[in-house]
Amino acid sequence: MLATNQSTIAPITAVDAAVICVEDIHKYYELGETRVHALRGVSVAVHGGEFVALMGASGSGKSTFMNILGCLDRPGSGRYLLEGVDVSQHDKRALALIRNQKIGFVFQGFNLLARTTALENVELPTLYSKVSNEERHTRASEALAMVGLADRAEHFPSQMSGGQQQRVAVARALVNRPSILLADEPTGNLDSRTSVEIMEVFQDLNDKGLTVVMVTHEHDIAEFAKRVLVFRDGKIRKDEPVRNRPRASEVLKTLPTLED
Amino acid sequence: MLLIAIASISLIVGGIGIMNVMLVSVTERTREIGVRVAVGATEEAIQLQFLGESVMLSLVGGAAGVLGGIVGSYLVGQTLKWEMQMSVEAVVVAALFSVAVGVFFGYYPAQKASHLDPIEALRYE
Repeated sequence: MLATNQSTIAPITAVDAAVICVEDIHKYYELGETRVHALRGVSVAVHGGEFVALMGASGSGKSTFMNILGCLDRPGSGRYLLEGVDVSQHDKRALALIRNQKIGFVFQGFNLLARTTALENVELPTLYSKVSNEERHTRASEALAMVGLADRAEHFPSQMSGGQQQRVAVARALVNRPSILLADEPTGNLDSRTSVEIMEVFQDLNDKGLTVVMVTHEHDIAEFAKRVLVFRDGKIRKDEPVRNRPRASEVLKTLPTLED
Repeated sequence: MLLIAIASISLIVGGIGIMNVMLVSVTERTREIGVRVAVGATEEAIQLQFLGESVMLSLVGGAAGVLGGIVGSYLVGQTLKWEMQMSVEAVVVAALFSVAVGVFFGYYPAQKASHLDPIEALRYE
């Protein structure tokens, strides 16, 4: 179970306000003489407190969409409003600040720095924000406690399991108290039980008000979200709420543990 | 004149060595750079980090050179019964040259690191 430390969760956005509002975005890539149309007019709004799963086959445009949501890429045309601010024309420096302050990233391969401890990994985003050393340490410790790894602060990634490493990555994503958590196939490298454990972390954070957007290929994992968007050929083909959404904590009780 | 020529060539060779080490470091740490950019590092921050590491590397080289010079002078002085004289100016100039070599030869790798596309960097295997 997760520690219940409400104080370090992102400032909760009013539930009705659209945290993410994307209007008719297109994205092209030039591959030699070929022009690939990755996104063909995507419009969607994600409100504060939502938990959205993005699904779709490879090449459907979901990763491009995720990169744009994460301000790692800019749309070719259209608008992207993050908390009401149009960020689609921001320069690189402004986008870096947004990534640092408003967005938390979780990746499939954890992407922890191998030669630094869990605590130092979690502190990483605060190195690029104006935070005192004391505050940095406090925030990182609190974020680790939130994902249930307070006792692993001084461990190196190589001394932790995949699930624990992904929890450290989630703590790193939370340390600057972002508005949204973006996860790109966060369970792609994990076994079934550990995947559900990560979903438990996401559901708990979402219950506390954090907006979560997650790319996944697995239907079972997408079921833990509140809403599923399905991409195909650069467009959203399906946008529907999840009915009979399972609670990860309940599902965990039915799964065998390592000792079984 | 001969000494200056030897010193210059040594500096250039050492500098190229530093540049190579830094270029390998940038390649090996491509994913790390991607993560740093994803969590909010600006191009300037990445550039400064790699430039700093390059300067540190050259400063360590400079310090080793100064130490080698002192030990060498001492041994020669002892052997030939010469009085050893330390020149503070020479040490300062050596340190300054080390920093300059670090900045000059670390600039290109630092530029390369800061201009990596974060999306590509995060996918790098």
